[in-house]
Amino acid sequence: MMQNLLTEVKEHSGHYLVLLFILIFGGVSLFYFQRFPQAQVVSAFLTASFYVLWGVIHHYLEGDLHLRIILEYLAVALLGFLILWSIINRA
Amino acid sequence: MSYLWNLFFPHHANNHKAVLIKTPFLFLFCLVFVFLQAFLNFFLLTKPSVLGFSSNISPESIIELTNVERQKLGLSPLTENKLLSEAARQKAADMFAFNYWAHVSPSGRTPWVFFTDVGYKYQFAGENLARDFRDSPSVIQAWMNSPAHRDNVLNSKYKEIGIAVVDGTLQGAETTLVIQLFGTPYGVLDEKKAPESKPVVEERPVELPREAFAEEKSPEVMSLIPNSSTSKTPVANPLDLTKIMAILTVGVLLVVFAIDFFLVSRRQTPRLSSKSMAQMMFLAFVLIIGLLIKRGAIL
Repeated sequence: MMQNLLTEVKEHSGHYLVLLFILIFGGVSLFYFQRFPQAQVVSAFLTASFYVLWGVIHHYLEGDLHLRIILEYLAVALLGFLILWSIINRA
Repeated sequence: MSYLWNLFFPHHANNHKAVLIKTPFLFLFCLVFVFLQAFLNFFLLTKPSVLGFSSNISPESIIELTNVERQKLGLSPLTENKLLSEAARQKAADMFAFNYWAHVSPSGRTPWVFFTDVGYKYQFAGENLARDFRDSPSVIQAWMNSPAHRDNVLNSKYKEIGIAVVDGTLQGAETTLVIQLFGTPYGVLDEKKAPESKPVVEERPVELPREAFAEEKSPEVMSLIPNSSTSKTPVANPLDLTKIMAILTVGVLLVVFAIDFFLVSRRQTPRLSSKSMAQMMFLAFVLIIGLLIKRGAIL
């Protein structure tokens, strides 16, 4: 499995670096705004949105962009946002 | 058995994609999560004794831990002053009554007003605030991690301390407020400087409240519950339950995406799908951030 992971990352190293940057930036902003829940919710929403955008651009560049794929990214991003939003509101 | 296989493993019967990570199921996960949160909110309103926020903070332990921190640096321990404790209780009551999370009230009342209201004449005074913590060590640790609050805890000029730990509802959320007041009675520290006309106030910088000020409420309608270890403790708190739901949901999806990634890349299955690797990265991000978010704020 590790070999498969490495092959995938090597093939699209630039793309995954961008994704990693989006997630790290999202994490840092959530930590930075830890005393401002509303700003945290905005950070979570932006991270999820940029994740979907990353998916769209990645598959567009790969030449296999399809509505079904966009919906898959949207569903996971929505679930992630809902989870973070619930936790931020309860904290 | 084959139904379970369909749910978790990609193969020809499910078009080479586990059913659990197909788009309709992912949206179903979202719906179920929203439903469970709504149910939790409903349960919270109808059975507050079962689900709710509880803390195990006592004024005595806050004083003890404050003195432990001071003694580490060879500073004299602070003694509890009943007037300061009463001032702290009044400050907490004011915060709940007028629904604010700040050193200065919306009407402009500074912390020092509460000192003088109870008849405490100070030469030096300071205030630390905390909310939403579960235990005393977490409160002290948060203050010690903040330079401004740490300076208050370790200020050699202070001789006395007053603590109030009060449960109530602030800005729509059930919480426990911890008010820590420091003081040095007028003339105690340096008799020669006693004639000074104005007290020296060690005032902490005032930061913006977590939320905008809400409409002022009449003080008499607010209920303040002194925190005590004998109070009825809720069985579970909503944050923990939400985190458990998040761990279960994200955990299951991470496992299924990992299986999908492994099997599809090994079999070289051609298919039109999102990248499982990216989905795993995003879900891992959600899980890590979700677990790192904690209760508690200081001011």
